[in-house]
Amino acid sequence: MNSNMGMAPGQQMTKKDQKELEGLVQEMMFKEMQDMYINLVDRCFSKCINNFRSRKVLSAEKDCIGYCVAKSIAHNKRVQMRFAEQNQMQMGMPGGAPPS
Amino acid sequence: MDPAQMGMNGVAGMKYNMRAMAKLYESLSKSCFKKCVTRFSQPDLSVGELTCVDRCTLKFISTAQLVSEGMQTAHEQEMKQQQAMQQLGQQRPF
Repeated sequence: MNSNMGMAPGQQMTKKDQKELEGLVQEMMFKEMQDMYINLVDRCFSKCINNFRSRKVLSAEKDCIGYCVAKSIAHNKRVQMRFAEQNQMQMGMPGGAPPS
Repeated sequence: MDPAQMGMNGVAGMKYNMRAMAKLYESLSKSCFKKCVTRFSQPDLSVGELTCVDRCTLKFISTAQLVSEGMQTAHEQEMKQQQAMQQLGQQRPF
């Protein structure tokens, strides 16, 4: 992965460019949060809601959704951690633990 | 999932909300079709399928709300943890 963001070596970003980049990054982060939410709803609905004899969400289904959300977030964190580790190892930087 | 809470105001916030609505709707339609419409021996939806779709729609919307609350709780817990760790760091300088 190229961490130089496409700039020539020794090149500095102008203030204007920096601001623009910050705005774009923020927008990306919002979109990412939103997409995560939408995927969570999709996934947890699919896994937990299977009974359509009632229009109310059953208590067991409510618990399932709670666990599904928590597990998905924990899963995300774990994947992020390992991915970052692998990235660091590939770039030849010290500090990446060998895969267990 | 409140855009105002995250610092996005005005048209940007509205665009954010509309996009979420559109995507959720798409997900709802796809999910409920998958769960409720299983037989293809006739062109009309059966009574059972109609009822299922009605209930499915309601349950999906409830689920979306529950997930939103769950994420909010998780976010708050994360903030608390971070604050606690910061305080620990401040109390015991090395």
